[in-house]
Amino acid sequence: MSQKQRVGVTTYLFFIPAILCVLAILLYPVGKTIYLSFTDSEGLLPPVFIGFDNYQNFINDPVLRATLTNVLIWTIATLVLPVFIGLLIANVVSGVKGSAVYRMIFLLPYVLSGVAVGALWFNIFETEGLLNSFLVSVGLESWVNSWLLYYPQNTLSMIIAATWASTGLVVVLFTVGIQNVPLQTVEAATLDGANSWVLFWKIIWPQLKYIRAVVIGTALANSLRTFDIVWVMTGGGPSRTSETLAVTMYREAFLLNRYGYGSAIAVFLMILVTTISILALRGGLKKEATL
Amino acid sequence: MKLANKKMAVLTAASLVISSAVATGAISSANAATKVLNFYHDKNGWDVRFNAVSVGLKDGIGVTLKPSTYADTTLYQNTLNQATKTGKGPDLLTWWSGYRMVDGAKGGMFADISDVWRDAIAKGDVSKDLQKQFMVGNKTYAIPNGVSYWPMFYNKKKFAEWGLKVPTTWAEFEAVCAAIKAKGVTPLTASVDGAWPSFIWFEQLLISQDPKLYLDLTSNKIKYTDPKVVEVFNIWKGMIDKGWFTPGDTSFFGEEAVKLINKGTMIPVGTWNNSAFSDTGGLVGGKDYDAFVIPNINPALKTQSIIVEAGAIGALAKGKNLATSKKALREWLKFPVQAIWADASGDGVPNPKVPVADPVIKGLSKYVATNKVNQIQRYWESGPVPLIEGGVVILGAFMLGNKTVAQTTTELAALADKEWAAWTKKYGK
Amino acid sequence: MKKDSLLKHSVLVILSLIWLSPIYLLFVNAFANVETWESNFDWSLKGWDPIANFQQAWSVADLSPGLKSNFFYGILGAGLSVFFASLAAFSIVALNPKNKSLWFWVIYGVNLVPYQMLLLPLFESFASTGLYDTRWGLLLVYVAIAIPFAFFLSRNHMLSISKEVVEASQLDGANKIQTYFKIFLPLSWSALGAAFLFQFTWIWNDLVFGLTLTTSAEIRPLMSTISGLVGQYQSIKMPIVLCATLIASLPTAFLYIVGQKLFVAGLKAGS
Repeated sequence: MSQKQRVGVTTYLFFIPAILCVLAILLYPVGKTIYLSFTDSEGLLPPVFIGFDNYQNFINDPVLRATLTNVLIWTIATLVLPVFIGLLIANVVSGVKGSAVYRMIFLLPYVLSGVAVGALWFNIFETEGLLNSFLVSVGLESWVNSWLLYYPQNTLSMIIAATWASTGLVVVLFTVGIQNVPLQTVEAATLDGANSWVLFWKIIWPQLKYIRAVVIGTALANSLRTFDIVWVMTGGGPSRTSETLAVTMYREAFLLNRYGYGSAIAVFLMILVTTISILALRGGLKKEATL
Repeated sequence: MKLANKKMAVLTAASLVISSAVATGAISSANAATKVLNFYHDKNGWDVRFNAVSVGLKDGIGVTLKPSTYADTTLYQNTLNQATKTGKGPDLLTWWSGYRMVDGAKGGMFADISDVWRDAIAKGDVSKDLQKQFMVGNKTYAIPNGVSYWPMFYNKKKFAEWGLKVPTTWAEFEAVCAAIKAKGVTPLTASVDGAWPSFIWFEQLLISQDPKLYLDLTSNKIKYTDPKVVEVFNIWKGMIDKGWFTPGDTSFFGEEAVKLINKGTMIPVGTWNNSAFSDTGGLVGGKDYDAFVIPNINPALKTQSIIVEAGAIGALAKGKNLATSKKALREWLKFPVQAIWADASGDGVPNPKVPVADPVIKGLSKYVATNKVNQIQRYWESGPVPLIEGGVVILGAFMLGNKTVAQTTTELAALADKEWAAWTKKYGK
Repeated sequence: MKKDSLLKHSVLVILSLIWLSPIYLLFVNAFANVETWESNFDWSLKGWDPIANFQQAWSVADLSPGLKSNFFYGILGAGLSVFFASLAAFSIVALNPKNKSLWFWVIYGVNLVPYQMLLLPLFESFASTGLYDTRWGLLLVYVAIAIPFAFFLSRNHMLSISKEVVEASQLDGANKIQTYFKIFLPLSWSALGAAFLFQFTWIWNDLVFGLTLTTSAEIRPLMSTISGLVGQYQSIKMPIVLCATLIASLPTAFLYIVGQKLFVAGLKAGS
């Protein structure tokens, strides 16, 4: 009884609900955006076809270099920092009693809304805010700075806020992964004389393959689309130095009503995210059994 | 006989029921005649005021408003652009005047309400002077949503405590700033929070130097690199270097403004923020705080100038209830509704017949009228949108010390060239 | 070993304190006495008034319709998306359709689209099809956007269900639907629960789609209502706003605490 024989119409019926939903909200928007990216469409005026002009202007835009640099910084930061810090914390948490409580503590920021996170950290980092008053109170007045007003410290400040909000999830995921490594494997390795470093890299790390894929998959998709925190805390400023690609797109399309140009940036961003996601996930995805 | 009585009873009861039903029906159909207009706005926090206006409209012409708040201004504007394109949207909407209306007027967002203005001016409900900023071509597209001045708000009690007087010359103004600074308080607010506030001091210093300079600059008759403009930038730089301004991430309206004014800082902000001082802050106008018109830098000028901001309320051209919407706009300008607005907003209103209740606004309006102070449109409404949006970013960088005066003016000039060219291409002159 | 444990605990305690300090800030300032509020976030507990602030936040911010809407969107949105995603994942994993990669990327692909790009065209199509400012319209958007990640999680988990189990059920004469409901669904329960939690949180905290695609108070989700509490023309004091934010965060926090076991089990079984 070959599997192949049993593949019938019903197999594909299982996809229908998901595909329908996805197509319903994606087809028109993505199609329209791609169409608009080849036009000069501003505000209420009808779109005028201009070929690849938008893409060309985008590549020549001086802000582009800064924007792409920020995207790179944000991607590395929101990928590496939560994963690295999360892994470190998870390593410690998984080895103690009451790990469930610690997991909850680190997860709390994740359940807060973006509005709350932005408002909190704005009040911490603003010039008249809590970080500066804290520094003054411990005698570190020389460290006082306008954290949100100048580049690159404003990007760094926002990365701190973003890391705080998202690391908790990574901690939980990795803690579960680490605690799931079979006890016998760990004990056997320890008996073989493996120190904790070797234990981690040679035994535990490979076992985290699945969790890693989940973590990286989410972190990637989110980091490349970094928008909320940047918009709330600095608006991409000052002078657009802390802008990320998503912010640039929002600014052109929404603020300046240059829908054609904004759409070109959106398409660019989409291609970028897709490429990187395919590259990163291909390694970590489990393959279905092939026959 | 009994049967006949019974029939009579039933008939009487029935007729009672029917007649009361008819009566109720009549009442409810009278109520049903109250038309509801959908009203979109981005002034979240003002629903209370708009509901008060709605009551006034109901009494006047049997129309009520159903306000919908859009907290995010950018999304609001885009939602309305889409509504204009699809024809599905509100009946009435808030917007901005001046250049910010042009896209909407030419793009079919707003209905032509020149007739509303004709009637209102004729009946003295609004001054003809206000009309220009709501016109595109020779048609008018919106009514004013309050008229706000941008004076300097100050702490009267602190002034008395520190022995300071309201300045009448620039030299006196500088002395006041220096004195406040000496007391350990930052004298003036300035901000780049949200990007837009950077034009506040830009426009203020320009009109204090020479209102004609400002008007020429914003109508592209002179360039940003003009020596007279550069001179103003240098004056501004001088003030920045003396540490007279609050840090760029300061918020200067609402409860933040109250905090700042209580310290003694002077705040240049629109009079729409007046209610924050009086209601939120519990300060008494004329006693705890007041406002003055900023003195001219150039002593040779004969009159002072003040920035004016007038928001707009328009009717969606493709709105289903256009006729009713226009009636509502006309009614909005009449005395009863205007009086409600004056009371609810604590700000100035377009209808000159409405007496101003708030002491600070009253004093300011009187000063402006008596001294024939020039009323100049805000920078925000005084140029093609991309120029203004890009301009405030450059001005913000200047304020933070990231660009020199030369860099700032050069970049602004280049941006102006680019955007005015695009504007001309789009709309002719 | 004991010393090691003590060291680990100390590190964790210190780290937790630093980690929680912004949340401490949130609580302290959310409960600060509104009368003496000085527009400055503070560390110290001046004037503790949680009940009054909660009451004010509830009435002033009018959170009731938003909360009701959020439960609707969260439960239905996360529930439906996880269900649809699991159906698709089941097919890809157990039923051997053609072009598996294609199906995977089409469904996962929604995750890769910058969501701002969707906003205006969605508004346009919603306005012309009458879905604008409707519960079902917004729900559809939430379900569609929540599917990819739920799909990702379900698929990864279902791959661990052994081939023998599948083949045994087929030998028993079970058709595909029965296999799904009787075998895969029960075995994936915890993974689907984890996916539900993730997506519920995302939908609960959404701001932009709510702002763009709805406008009435009864249809609008909670975060849109809350974002309307701050701004240039607003005069609500910060502690009340923070209190409203706290109220809005309670359900998700509660859900995670209660659902932790499920969450953990769901992720464990997949690795």
